[in-house]
Amino acid sequence: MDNPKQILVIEDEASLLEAIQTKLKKEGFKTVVARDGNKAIDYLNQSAQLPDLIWLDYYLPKLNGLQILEIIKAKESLKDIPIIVVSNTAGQEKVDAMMALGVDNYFVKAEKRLDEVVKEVKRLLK
Amino acid sequence: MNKSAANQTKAKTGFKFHSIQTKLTLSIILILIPVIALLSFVSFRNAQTLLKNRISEGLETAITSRQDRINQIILTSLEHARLISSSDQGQDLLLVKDATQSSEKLETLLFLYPEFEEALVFNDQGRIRASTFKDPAFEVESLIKAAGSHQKPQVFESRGHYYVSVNFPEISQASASALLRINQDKLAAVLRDYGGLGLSGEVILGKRQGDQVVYLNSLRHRPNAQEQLKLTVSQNPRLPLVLAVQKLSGTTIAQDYRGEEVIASYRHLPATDWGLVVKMDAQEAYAPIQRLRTELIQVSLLILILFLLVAFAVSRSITEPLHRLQLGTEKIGKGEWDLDLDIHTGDEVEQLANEFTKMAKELQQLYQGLEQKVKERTVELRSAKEDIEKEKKKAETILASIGDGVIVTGREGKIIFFNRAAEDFSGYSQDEVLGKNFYEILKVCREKNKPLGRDSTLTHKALNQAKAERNDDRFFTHKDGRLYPVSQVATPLIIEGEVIGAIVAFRDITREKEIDRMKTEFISVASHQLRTPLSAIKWFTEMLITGDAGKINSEQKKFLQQIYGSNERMIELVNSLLNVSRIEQGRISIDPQPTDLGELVDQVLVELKPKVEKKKLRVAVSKNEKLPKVNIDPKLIRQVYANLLSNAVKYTEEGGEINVFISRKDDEIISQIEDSGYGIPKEQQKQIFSKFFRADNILKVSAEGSGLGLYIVKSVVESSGGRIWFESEEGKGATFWFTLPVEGTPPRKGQQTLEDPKL
Repeated sequence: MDNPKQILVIEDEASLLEAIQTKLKKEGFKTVVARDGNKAIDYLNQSAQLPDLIWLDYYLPKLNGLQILEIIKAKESLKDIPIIVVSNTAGQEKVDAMMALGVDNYFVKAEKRLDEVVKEVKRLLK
Repeated sequence: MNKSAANQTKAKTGFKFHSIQTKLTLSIILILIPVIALLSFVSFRNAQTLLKNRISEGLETAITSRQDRINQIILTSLEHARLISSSDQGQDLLLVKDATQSSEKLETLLFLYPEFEEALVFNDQGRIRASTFKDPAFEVESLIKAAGSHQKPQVFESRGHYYVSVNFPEISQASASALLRINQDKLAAVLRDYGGLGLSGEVILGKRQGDQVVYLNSLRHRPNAQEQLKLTVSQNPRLPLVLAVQKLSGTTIAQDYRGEEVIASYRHLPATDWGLVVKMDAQEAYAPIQRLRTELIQVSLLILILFLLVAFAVSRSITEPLHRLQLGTEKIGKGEWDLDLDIHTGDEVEQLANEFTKMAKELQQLYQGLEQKVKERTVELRSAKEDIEKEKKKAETILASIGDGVIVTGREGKIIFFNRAAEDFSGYSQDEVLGKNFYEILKVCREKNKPLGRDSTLTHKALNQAKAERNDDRFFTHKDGRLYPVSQVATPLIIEGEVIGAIVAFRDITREKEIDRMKTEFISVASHQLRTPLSAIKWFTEMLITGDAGKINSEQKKFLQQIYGSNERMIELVNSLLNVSRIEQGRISIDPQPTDLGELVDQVLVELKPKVEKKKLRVAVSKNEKLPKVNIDPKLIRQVYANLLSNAVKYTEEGGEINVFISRKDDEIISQIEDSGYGIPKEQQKQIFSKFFRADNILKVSAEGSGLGLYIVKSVVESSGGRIWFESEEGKGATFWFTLPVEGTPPRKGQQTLEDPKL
């Protein structure tokens, strides 16, 4: 596939990462992984090429998802990148807070099949 | 103050300016003065007139008597002169040629007539025939001349003597006359008779000499001054003597030779052509009048004074008792009850005084009775006060010992009590906060930097709306500036229907909140930690099943599907546990929106469609057309329908029936879900809503199910303001009803909503 879309996956859980990367590769996407918030931000700041979509978890070491989201949305160059939050977090207020900052969608891992999430990714990248 | 003191001093001196005494006295005087004056005046005038008349009469009487007496003397003299002239001796006398012998005869004759002192006989030539005059100096000729010649006997005066001249009857061609000097004694006696004429009175005889009037007798007040004092007629026309010699008579007032005013009666003596005046000094004459006037004045004054004194005495007799009465009232004022008023006037004042004394006695008794009562009451009060003090101490001790902070405010929110625990929690001491407004001290906030408006505080609501309320979500501000979370309950203090203050009991719940937060954290983390491996299993299994790792055979697929299914159950269990834990913590939020319940049911049924079709169940939904939208939290109620319908599907055999009815009754919407399934055994129906309960009859049938569903459904329905109940017979099916209020559910702030159940 020419010009595959690049997805930045910010997730620290190894097993989940493998599943996600496998699936995304299978669907023809390129993936970049950041296992904590700082690494993610550094990548976003330094990389020449910005990702086409950001896949963000909540519970992460160093910076949590909300904090990362705040930083991204504060940056002119980053704030328009489509971003989905895929987390197991149940806290309503956390969800609300992230939704308020402007995420394109929010999925609870345990409740969504992987291919459903991928479907959404494809939709957002159309 | 000064006025009454002045009055008081005046009272002591017996004179008051504005008093009964003065009034009485003045009235009496004002009446008496004109009366007495009038009386005196009238009496005086009458007396004066009377007196004047009397004096006039007296004078006239005096003059009349003297006139008579003088006339008598004159007449007698004339008569006797005639007798002498016609007597034999007289005749004899004339016959005697010798003068000496005739003189002797004359003297002898005179002895018979003592009223004549001397005599002289002379003939018509003037030759003296006889004479008794011894004094050679005596001027006979002038006398004879003075006598004049008269036919009839005459009385006349000459040089201080009075004479009678008489003619002898003619004998032998000899004519002779005699001059007889009248003894003045009698006349003098008359002229000196001042009887009835007082000290100033006198009798005056006078005769006319040409234009002059000459006094014939000595003037009482100017003896031997007659000569100088003779009067000129023309110059003194009004004088009584002048008038008298002009043949007039009367009584008049004039000025006499001394210049004194005199009252004089005057008469004319025709026999001798003399004037007779009887006079009296006006002053002496009217002296009685003067005296009368003086006496009248004195008497008047006396009467006035007497009356004054009487008035004084009378009014005093009135005011004195009154004054005593007044002193009595002062005594009572000072608390002396024994009034010795000493009023015995025998009149109304005495009665008043007696009544007053009686009243004082009664007052005294009353007062003493009161004093006694007061003493008793004081003792009672003191002991009551001690009791109250004890109770107060008790109450204070209790309040101070309460572990929660207690703040009591007055009606305006000013702090009137601040207990020990409140001091500890807030960092302020009671002294610092008393009298200050609770809002200033506590600085209530919702969260950091979100101060709460005073009107929203519980205390304010208690004070102004008489509402008692509990709240766990607010923060107070410590004295050092930090916020601390509190659980508080504010209650209004109401006495007789009026709010007089509020009482706030509060607790620093930092620890509880901390624990709560920890629990929440724990659950979040736990749920996250539990879910992470479950998610991994889910996705990997999914990928295996979909062939992302390579083709699999059907047996592998079957096994993998089993794994996938079990994993899903575990995920569901974790969700349910989370919900249960949230419900138990009261952390579920209710976010009501106008919701069409029918739509919710339809959504749920859509999701259940695969299972329904698999079990070939017939599902029917019927709802009222006019079903209004209800203000409920759609997420929560959706879960209710989801749970109930999922149960109905799960616990009904193939080919069974599920019916849903939604209708409105009064102010509730009733949802009815009935199935023709296994039903619930009677003996287990009590426990159906309990946590983790699964009835025996379905345990055999289905291993699935956490037993939490109905517990969650019941909690949600009740939190939404509804009720839930069911009927069931084992083997025949079950029907569940739940209600929701038409007016909807009030929003509740919570931290969470429920996890979606796995249907």
